[in-house]
Amino acid sequence: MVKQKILIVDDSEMNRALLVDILEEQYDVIEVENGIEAISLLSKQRTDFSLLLLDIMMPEMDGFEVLAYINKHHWNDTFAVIMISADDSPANIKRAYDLGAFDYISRPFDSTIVHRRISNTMFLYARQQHLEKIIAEQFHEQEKNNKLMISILSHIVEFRNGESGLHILHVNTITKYLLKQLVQLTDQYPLSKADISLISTASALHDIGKISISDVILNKPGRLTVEEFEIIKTHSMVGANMLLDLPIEQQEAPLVKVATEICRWHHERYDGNGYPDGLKGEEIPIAAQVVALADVYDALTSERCYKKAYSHEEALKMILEGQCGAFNPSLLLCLQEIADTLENKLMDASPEQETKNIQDIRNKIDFDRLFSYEKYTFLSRKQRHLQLLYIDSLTSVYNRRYYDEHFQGTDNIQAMVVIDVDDFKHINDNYGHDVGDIVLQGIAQSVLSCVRKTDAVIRYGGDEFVIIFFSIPADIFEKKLKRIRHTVDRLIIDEHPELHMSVSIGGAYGTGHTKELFKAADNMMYQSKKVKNQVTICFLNEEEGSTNSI
Amino acid sequence: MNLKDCYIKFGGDFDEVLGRLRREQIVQKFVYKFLDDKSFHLFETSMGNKDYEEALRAVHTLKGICQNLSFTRLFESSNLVTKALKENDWNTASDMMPRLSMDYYETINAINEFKSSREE
Repeated sequence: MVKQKILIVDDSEMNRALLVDILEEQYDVIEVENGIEAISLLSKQRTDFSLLLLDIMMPEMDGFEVLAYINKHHWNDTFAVIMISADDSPANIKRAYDLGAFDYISRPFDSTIVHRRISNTMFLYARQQHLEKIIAEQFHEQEKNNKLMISILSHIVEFRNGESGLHILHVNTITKYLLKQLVQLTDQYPLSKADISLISTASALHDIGKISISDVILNKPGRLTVEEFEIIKTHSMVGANMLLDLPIEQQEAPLVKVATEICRWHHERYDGNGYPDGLKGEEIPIAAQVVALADVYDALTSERCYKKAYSHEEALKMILEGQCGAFNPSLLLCLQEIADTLENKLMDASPEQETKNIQDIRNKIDFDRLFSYEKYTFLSRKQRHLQLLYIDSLTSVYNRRYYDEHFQGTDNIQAMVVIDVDDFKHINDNYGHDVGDIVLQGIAQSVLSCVRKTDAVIRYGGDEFVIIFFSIPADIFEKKLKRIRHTVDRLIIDEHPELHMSVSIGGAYGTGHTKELFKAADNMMYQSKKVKNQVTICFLNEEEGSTNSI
Repeated sequence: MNLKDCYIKFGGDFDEVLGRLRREQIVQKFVYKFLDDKSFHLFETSMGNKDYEEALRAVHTLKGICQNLSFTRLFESSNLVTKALKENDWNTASDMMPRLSMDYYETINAINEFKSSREE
């Protein structure tokens, strides 16, 4: 076992030698002869030390100055300071304690007592640090779980509604920043850090009621009719009722209480013109007020199936002008304050952050494997044979056989994509086939992370993948291909961080026969290949033969 | 002459130091080490230069060492000088110097005597 390190700071060589004699058998003892040397050593390697034995009367910098410095920089969070001095007047001892000394050993030194005092102090410190570490780990674990829950919810929303996967993450971020700003601005809402974290987490649930709304209305590109809008409006009450249906003990959990408020009232407006209850002003719980504003802000700055994205300036202007209903004036002030931060944060959050979040989910839970596990393990042996037949053993996506047997002759495919890895031969030749395999796995996972569960990813040939999309709007299709290119472009292989990968992507959009779509997508892929790391799409039905390089 | 006789000679408390430091070899090691300690000479020089701050630090160190080694008599005289210097009472400190010097050299001589009796 490594000995714990003790630093002795004393100008008298005799005194140091005496302490070294007492301590060296059990501890690793380092000596310095004045305060300046002690501070300079500690500033470089203070975490090495478990204990400091400090004399008071020394040239250059005395013990009190050293103690004050240590205390000011909180170095004594990680090691204890024990004073050793021939001057044991009560005034000195008191001053040392006031400056953060842990204990005081007066002279003459008794070797047994010195030993005991030091080992007890170290024991206490070690125990405290151990406990702090446990708490920090638990906290971290909980944070991780919270983030994971939010990512899963975002993922579920994306599953349902191809375009707003980021919305929940954004609302979470905006809510957090708005609340932090709000507590700085006013004492009116006494929210602790824990409350802020709770509300931000609960904000992820604001739209859960939307699962009761039919896809047709939810994803309708054009303007909603009055009847349709009335249906959409039910989602806030439906969401709240879902939570109120939970068992009573769960309803009482703070997260559920806050989430219920948010679900029900995140469409209320400060002047009473919102829905469902027409609450006014502070009748609306602050959590719901904040999420309402966050929801509107993100809706404006994001693209939706029925509208384009507004810039951050435009969105801010529209909200301040009251175009999206009335909000708490304090919150509007906060929004103005944090506008720049939000613009940066929300940009950061997409698409890299999103990719990361989605990859996190895959790494930890791995939806696909979870599903396929269920599919192929708990079902019949016949089903297991199906897995062997149709799943590519290297990349876990569908294989060529699956494509040939299931999609030849299908005519309800909406879009098809051909992906070819750039310079794959070069990777194999220079890094070996093992690394080549890892690259293919990484790329397959990246592609999977960017598509919906209903889309089929197929390893078509060596380094060639095909994706088949059913019922997907053109603009989302385009976005997904961009995201795939981007995700692969940022992919890093742990063992070879210097290795850069990219794909050339060809897409064909339009309902048609598999063969036609494949041929068109393959042609587009070859166009992309001319430059590499590129997406080219052709739209078959609308404008004949129109291509679009991105 | 043994170490205890040596302690008796310069007015120290051998039993007390042995009780704290446990082993006679350690006590002897530090008693020998005291021969090389510069605190007293630093004190004398600093007093000569009227550098009372340095003098205080030196005699304070000397006091601490005497305390640890149970050099009772020398501890007492160095303690008195330390107190005087702390109170900026430089005249009293100067007046006490001959006494301190006497106690110091008695201690040094006794240790030297002990050391040579051991080496014979």
